[in-house]
Amino acid sequence: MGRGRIIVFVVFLMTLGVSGAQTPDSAQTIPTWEVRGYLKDMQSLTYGQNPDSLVTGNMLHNRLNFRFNPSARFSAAAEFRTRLFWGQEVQLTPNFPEALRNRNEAVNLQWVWFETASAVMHTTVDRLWLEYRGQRWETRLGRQRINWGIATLWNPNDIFNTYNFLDFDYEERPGRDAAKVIFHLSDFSNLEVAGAAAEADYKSVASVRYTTNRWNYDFQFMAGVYQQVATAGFGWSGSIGEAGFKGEAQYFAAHSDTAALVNLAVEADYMFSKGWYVNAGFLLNSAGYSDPIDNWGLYNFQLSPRSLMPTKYNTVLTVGKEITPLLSANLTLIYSPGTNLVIALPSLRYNLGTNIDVDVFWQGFYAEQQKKIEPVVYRGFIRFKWSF
Amino acid sequence: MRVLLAFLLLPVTLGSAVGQSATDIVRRSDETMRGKTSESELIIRTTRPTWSREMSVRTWMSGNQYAMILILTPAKDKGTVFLKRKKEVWNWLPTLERSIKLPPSMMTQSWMGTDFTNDDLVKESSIVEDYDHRLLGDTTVAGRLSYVIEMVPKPEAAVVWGKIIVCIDKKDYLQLHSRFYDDEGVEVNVMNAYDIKMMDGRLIPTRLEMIPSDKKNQKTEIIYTRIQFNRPIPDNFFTMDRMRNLK
Repeated sequence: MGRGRIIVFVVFLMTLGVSGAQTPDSAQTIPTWEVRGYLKDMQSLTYGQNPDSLVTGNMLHNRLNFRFNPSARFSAAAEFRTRLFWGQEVQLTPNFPEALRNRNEAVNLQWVWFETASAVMHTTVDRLWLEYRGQRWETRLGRQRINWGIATLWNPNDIFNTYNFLDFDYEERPGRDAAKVIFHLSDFSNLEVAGAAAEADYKSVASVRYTTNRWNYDFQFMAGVYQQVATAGFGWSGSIGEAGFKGEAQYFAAHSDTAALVNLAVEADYMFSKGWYVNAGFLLNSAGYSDPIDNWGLYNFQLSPRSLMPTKYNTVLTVGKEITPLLSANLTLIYSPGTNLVIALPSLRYNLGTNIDVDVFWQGFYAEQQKKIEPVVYRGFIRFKWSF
Repeated sequence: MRVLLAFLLLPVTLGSAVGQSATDIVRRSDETMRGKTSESELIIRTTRPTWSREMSVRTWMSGNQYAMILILTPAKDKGTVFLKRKKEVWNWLPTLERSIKLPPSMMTQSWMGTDFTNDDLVKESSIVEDYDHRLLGDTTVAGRLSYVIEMVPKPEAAVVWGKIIVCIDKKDYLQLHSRFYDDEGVEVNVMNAYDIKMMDGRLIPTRLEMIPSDKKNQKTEIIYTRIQFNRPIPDNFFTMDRMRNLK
C-alpha cells in the first residue's frame, strides 16, 4: 500500500465516525473512533572503552494510533510511527534508513520523508488491521502484532515477531502481515490459528495455539512451521505461594542446514512491601555459544525466535522500586555464564505532569575478551514523553 | 484496583434496627453499597504536599470473586484493564496488546501510589465474615448519630488489619468514619466519607478519603461519579476475552 492510499484510509476513518465518546460496554455508541498517541524527544550517547569514541544521537518521535469501530462487531486500526533522527548517529551510520526497516514485513509500509547527510525522517505503519468479532470466534487481518509471549524479558513462544529487549523505546513492538482466527472453546480456553507472510515465502510463519486455564495456571500449547522448520512449544503462568511463576519453551526441529534446538525461559517474580519488586529468570538457548567470544557486535544483537540471546545460558535479575508515586527506579542485570557476557540496564522514570514523563536509561555491556571481563560499550538516553 | 475493592468491601447500608447486634449493624452496612453486583465510574485523586494526580476508572464487580477495572484517564494508561477471577489477577496492556499475570504478592501492596492496601482483593476478606464485632457506644459524625463498632479479625482470617474502629450512622447505615490499626495496635489509616447523595436509588457517600495517620498532609480520595447496583453481570463477563475487548 502506498502512502497515498494510507492517507486516504486515514481520512476515511476521520470523516466517518462520531467522536469517540466513552460509554458503558453494554450500551456503546456506534460508530466510534479514536485518535491517541504520543510525542517523544530522546537524546542518546554511545561510547566504547575509549571515551573519544562518543557518538550522540537525537530523535523526535511521534506515534498516532487511529481506531475505528463501525459496529459492535467490526474494528479497524492504523498506527503510524514517525521518527526524525539527526546528528552524529545519522552521519556515522551508512545507509541509516535501511537499518530502520522491519525485516519481517511482507509489504513495505514505510517511507523516508527526507534524508540528508545528518538527518533522516522516517514513517512506518506498524499496525493496519481489520477485525471481526463473532459470538464464538474472531478474526483479525492485516498488519498486527501476534503476541504469544508470556514471560517478561525473553519470549521463546513469540515466534511471529521477536523484539529486541534492548529497544526499550519501541513499547508497541513490531508487527507482522498476518491473518489470525481465534475460536472460543469456552470462557477460558481458545484455539487460535495464525499465519504471517514475509517478503520471501520461505520466511513465512504459521502456527496453531491452544490456551486454557487450570489449577489457577494459564497454559498454552502450540505447533507450527517457522521459516520451513517444524516447531512446537508450550508456556505457563501461575504462582507458587505468593510469587508469580512463568515459563515458555519452544522446540525447532532439524532442517536441511540447521540442527534441532530448544529455547526455554523460566522466571519468578515477587512484590515486596514499600514498592520493591524483584523478578529473576533464566534462558536456555541450546544452540547458543558457551565459550567467550572476542569481538562482540554487542548492542546490535541479531535476535530471532530461534536465538533470543547469542549465548547458551543466560540469567536475568530485575529489581524495581517505587521511590515515590511519581518516581521509580529499575535495574536489570543480565549475566551469561560461559561467555561471561554482562549487560546492566538501570533506568529512572519521573512523572513531570499528568501526561508528561521523563525517563533516563543506561545500558552497559561487558564481556570477557582476552580472559578479562571488560566494558565493550555504553549507551545513555534521556527521553521526554507527552501522551495524548 | 486494591483501592477500589477495599472501598467496595467497606461501605454503607439501609434498614432500621432495634436491638440488633454489632454484627447485624455491620452486615446491613456492608450489604447495600456492595450489592450482588455493581458497575461504577469513579475518580481516584492522590494528594501529596507538592502535587496531586487524578485517575478515572470504570469498574464491574460481582460479589467478592470477580472484578474488572478499566482505566479511562490519564492518556498514557487509558485502556489498561485489571481482571480478577477468584485468586487470579491479570493486567491487560493495550500498548503491548498482551496480558500479564500478576504475582499474588502484588495484590497485598499499594496500588499506583495511593494510600490504600489491597488485601481484600485477593484474600476476599469480608468485614462481616472475617471479623468479630463489638458495639463500643454512640457518637455523632458530621451531625449524624452513629454507632461505634470495634472489629477484630477472627484468628483464622487472612486480613491486613489488626483492628478497625468504624462509625456507622444509625439512620442510613453509612460508614462515615473508620480507623485502621496494625497488629501492634498502632493507627495506620483514617477513612472519612462525605458528599452523601442518592445514586441508583440508594443513599451513599460519594466521596471517600483515606489519610495515612503518620502523614497527615497526604491523602487519597475516591469520588463516585456513577454507580449501578445489582444489574446482572454474567460470570463469563469476567474473562480474558472480554478484557481484551473492553471499551
